[in-house]
Amino acid sequence: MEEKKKILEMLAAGKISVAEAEQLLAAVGAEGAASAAASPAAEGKRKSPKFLRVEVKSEEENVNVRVPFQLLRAGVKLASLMPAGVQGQVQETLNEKGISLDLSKARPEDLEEMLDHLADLQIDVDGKEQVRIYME
Amino acid sequence: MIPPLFLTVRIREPGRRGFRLWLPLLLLWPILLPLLLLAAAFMLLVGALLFSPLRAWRAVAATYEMICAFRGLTVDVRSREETVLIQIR
Repeated sequence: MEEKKKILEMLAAGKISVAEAEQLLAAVGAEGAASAAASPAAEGKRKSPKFLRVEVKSEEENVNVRVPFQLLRAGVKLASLMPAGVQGQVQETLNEKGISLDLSKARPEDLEEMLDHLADLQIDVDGKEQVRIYME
Repeated sequence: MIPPLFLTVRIREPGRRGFRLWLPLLLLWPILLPLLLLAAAFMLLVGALLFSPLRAWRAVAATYEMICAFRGLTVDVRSREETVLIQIR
């Protein structure tokens, strides 16, 4: 607000032209909007995603999957309760497939944190098949 | 937490009459309830004997949570040969 006042004062004093004043006011307005969007209050208001969307489009077929986040959360919770022997077998299979995910350390709280970070994730892969992974 | 209430399965092939199944799970749950309770009791018993009662209880709760979490799952596959849609609500 004060910056706008200063710009108007400069305009009144003839230090800047009308066009320059317009430009400055626009810049101040954009800056204000950006800082308001980035503020913690605005972040808190942002809805947390509810679904993980996977879309695969190719010439032959289109696949569209919508997985509720709650299902991922429940899956991690259940996986963390698996007996050690079973966890070891699952871990081995995951490693064989090239997935380095330690299930014994997976906790629902960690997933919550991860989901918060994933909210802005969007993966687009263009090739023979078009793959899009995003949250909604 | 509410378990899934409806299941929709739709399969369609070009030039053919499609298959559509709309299953009101909410009517199925009361029928399945005795079986589910038996399964939960079995899980609790085996879990308590093999591990600990608390862990067994947590596993039963997590299983129920998982069943409830299926609400909203949608799988839609469209190809030249057929279209398959599975929706859990």
